[in-house]
Amino acid sequence: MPLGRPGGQYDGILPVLYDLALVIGGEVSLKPLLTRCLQRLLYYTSFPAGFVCLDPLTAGGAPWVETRIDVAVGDYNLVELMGREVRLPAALLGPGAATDGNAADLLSQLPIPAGRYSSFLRLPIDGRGVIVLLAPQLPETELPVTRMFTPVMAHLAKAILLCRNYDSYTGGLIAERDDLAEKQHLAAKMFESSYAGMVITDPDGNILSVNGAFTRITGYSPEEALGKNPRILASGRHDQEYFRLMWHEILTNDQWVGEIWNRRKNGEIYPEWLLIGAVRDGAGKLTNFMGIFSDISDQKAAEAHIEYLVNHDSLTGLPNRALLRDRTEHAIAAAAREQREVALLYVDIDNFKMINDSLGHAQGDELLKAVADRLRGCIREMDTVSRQGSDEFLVLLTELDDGSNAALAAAKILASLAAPVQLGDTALNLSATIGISLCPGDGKDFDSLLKNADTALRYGKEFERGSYRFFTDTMNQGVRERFFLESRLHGALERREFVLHFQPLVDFQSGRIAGAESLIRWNSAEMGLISPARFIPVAEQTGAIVAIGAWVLGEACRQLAAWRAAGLPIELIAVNLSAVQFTRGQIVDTVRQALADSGLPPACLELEITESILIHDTEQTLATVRSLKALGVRLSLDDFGTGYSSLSYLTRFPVDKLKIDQSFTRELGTSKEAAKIVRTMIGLGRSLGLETIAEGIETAEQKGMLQRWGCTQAQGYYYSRPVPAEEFVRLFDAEGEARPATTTVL
Amino acid sequence: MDKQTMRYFPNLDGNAIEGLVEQWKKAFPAMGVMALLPEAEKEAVGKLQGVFSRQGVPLVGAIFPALVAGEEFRTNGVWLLRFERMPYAALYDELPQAGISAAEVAERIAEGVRGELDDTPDATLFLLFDAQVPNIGTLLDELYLHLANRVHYLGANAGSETFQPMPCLFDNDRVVGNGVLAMLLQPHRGGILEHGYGAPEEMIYATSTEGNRIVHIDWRPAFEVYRELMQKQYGVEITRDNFYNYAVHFPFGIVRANHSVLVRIPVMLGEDGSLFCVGEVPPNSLLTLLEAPSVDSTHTQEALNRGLVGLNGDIAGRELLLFYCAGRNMHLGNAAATHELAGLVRLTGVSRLAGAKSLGEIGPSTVGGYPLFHNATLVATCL
Repeated sequence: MPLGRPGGQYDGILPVLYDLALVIGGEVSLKPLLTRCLQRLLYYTSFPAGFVCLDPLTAGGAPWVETRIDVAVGDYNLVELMGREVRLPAALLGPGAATDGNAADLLSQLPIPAGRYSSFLRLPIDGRGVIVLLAPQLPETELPVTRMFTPVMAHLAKAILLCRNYDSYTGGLIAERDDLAEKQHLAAKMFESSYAGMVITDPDGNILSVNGAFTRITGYSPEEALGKNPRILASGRHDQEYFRLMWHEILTNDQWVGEIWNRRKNGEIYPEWLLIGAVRDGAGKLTNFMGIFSDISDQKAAEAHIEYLVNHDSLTGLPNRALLRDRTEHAIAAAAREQREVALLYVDIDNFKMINDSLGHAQGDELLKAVADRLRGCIREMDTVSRQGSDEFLVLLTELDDGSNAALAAAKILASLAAPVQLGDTALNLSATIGISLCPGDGKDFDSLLKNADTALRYGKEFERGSYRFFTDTMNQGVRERFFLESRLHGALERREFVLHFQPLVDFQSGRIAGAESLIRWNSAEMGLISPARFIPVAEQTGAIVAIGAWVLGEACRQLAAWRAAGLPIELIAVNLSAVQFTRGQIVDTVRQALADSGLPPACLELEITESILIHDTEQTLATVRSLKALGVRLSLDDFGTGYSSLSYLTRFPVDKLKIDQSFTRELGTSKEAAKIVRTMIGLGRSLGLETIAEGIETAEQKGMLQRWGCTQAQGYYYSRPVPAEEFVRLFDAEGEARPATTTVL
Repeated sequence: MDKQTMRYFPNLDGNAIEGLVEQWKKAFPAMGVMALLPEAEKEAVGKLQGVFSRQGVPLVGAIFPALVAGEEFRTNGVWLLRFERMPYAALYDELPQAGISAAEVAERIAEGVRGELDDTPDATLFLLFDAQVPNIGTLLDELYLHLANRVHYLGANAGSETFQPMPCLFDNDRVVGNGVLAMLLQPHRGGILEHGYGAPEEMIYATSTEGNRIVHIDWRPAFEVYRELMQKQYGVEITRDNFYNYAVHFPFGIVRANHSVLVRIPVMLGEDGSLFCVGEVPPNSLLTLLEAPSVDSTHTQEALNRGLVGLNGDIAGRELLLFYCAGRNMHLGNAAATHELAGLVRLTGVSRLAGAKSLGEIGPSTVGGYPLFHNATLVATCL
């Protein structure tokens, strides 16, 4: 998940900026400052290398800039060049922030082996220099990396100034032998050439000296400023208390740092970052005040822009989730006061991915904008439409008298989206599904409402697309149970909580037990016996069915081999396969392995596959079925008659047996329709040369009908319920003939 | 001559091992060996040291919770990985842990490595840490300042799966704890690291951290937020009592800008509600609670295979060294993890898979990229 993913769009920017600000604020010396800052930038952007060049670069149109690499991280050759003068291509160093993923030629001019990098990100340090990050390939990101660091770079520029002063001061202490005049000369040069505005006053606040940057920022020339009080810059935005506290701190601690609004000579008000220091002589007597400041208008503008980015989706301009959360919490508070309701509608465009894939992403984006416009058109001024991400939108309806208003709004949205959307030459018909949660009934905070609207949406998607659906507690219960099962399924194999039960497959003609169907049972240590109908769907959704299915195959084969070795007259073991095993598991290898491990002849294994597997009538499915068949195993088509029952399956896929679903068997004797269908299926099997087996036989009457119609095999409680392996052995009498079950068996 | 460079002995038969070492030495007089031992065989280190000292063959190695041998995890035996010429190897013990000391340690390690770099453009700094070292991320940051992209970075953490202190790194003479074994492999093109975890959208901020301990999330005690999120996202009630059962299935992800997620498995709960993780969590990290069932094992295997082929060309028939995170194994369950190993062998077509169950892994997020400390991953390389 990228930091700037739409929906949580740019949610990640503020902590990144915050962390960088802390890193910058934590350093007092220049080299560690630049190193740590560069390190963190590499970490956040995933560029592997970068360098920093300080001091204003005076390219003057020349293709090369003579400069110095102050700090480098990540590139061994650049690290070795640190502190040295180098010649770098001017086009790489500026101007402005930029990112380029196709700059191999430009980067081959760096003093490192050519071809190492082809991408860069350039971040100017607010006139102090530049940071260049390098990568072989442009790291993938959705962050506005050229803009988002602007406030940090402004902060870094100030920190560079302060660190230089600190280094200069400590360096001065160490090198006391330095000539005083030279130091004064240097100080004067620094004062004049500083990028920050500087002003020096006497103890009474009369301006004694200003530098060039002061004039550039404020508009006042030295002649206009000298002798005046810095109050000439006052904007009127701060009250007396503000200045009282400021001066209290200066006189107490000799220093004040902060943001202040000032006024330029032309009347324009602007924000600046200001440091005021009190200068004292050796006896501690106050001699001067010194102010150092920089214009942070650009930074403020960037912060405002970032604020917008943080709260809006860049594609549609809709509020994002962060802003919606805020508005929802306000709406909930207001609704509680006025005893009204709030609704959250989770809107999802049906089949958007398919549309996006077929039209292309550019058209997909246009479609999303069109959807956003339509949603805006469906709501009142006090409501909010927000984009969650991809094709998901949230609509906040406030001040509702009751939930029926939400239903009306949802219906209006569905109708609005149903009108064709024209994209170029293409007219698209859309539908959407909506999940609705209401406050206070379904939750009293944004997260609960969102979660419950999402749950309602998922139910809608599953059961009736193109509709709206209110959240109910039953849905929540379903989700909880599913999760609980999911968590317990972890490790159930290792804990040996699964067992196989076996139900006999009886040959109608001989009356003997011809084989057994293996059926998994989960005896959870915590929850007791759990029905396969409950846990198999969960295992399929999580993919755990692959490992569980492999275990069933191995165990079933092992069991039949053991029975055969013990002399039991049984030739066939049937194992159910899940569609998930077909698509995600290496099913052919798994079957081969189970046969090899058990030593069971392949013809003794019958795999029961459902129509849902064959419905994906793809070349891959066909190839897998054929590979299984090529192993020599038998294939049985399970639940026949309940799905599409397409004849084409029977002709394309090499199955050996049709299994008549128990829903038909049960109705034999009571439903003429069922009898007709079953006879047809048996006839169909016979004409195609396939065996037929009827499952779910419970009465002698059902058995008799099926036998008369020519069904070849039988299965059901009439003979035996599924039983553990040791009990299964006792089903054989001396001749191996299957007997009707006694009441004790049932 | 024995072309097989990785040999697994299911039991620590001193004579058999000595016979092989003797045979190897005849063919490769400058050889050396890296040994991987499972925790259950830790007492055998002395025996190995005796064999290799008698034969005058350099030995380095580490003790892990278990070994990866072929397509399964084993708690018995030993892997011997032979280098035709023993690479530079340095064993540091009892590493100091304060921030400033991390810089000094990294400088010492880098100094040693720098002196051994030859003209080969591709070299790998292979690092085996004791998992008890709490500031591995910081050490990697500092190492990167010195060695930058001159080397590829790869490695894993050794130690006990109980996370109790245990000397777990060794050479011919010493068995040390709280240290690191650094080896310089050259020429060598690094390795590939993958985890395949997906991440849900909801993000939170680690507002206060100390090394591998998350103190606050969104300015509140970390456990309190973790518990709430678990309840909200997965409907699970976490208590101090059941914390250990669940945490491995619901690790944190540190989200980075380029779609990559660094997994951090919470392993301990502090009295003050802080969460101890395997691996450092930088302050202000953007975290997400990873959804346990969303590990995409197939994707992981395919990405590893693709990466390895990208680095080495066709690897079918070659030998592969793999470190498999113990936390991942716990999360997926041994059956699925074993299945993953089998899938990897099948996909890569390698002739031999050697390695260990590790307690954290080291690798770049992109080839040639910044070295990062991970959990819940598979890291693989052709030696």
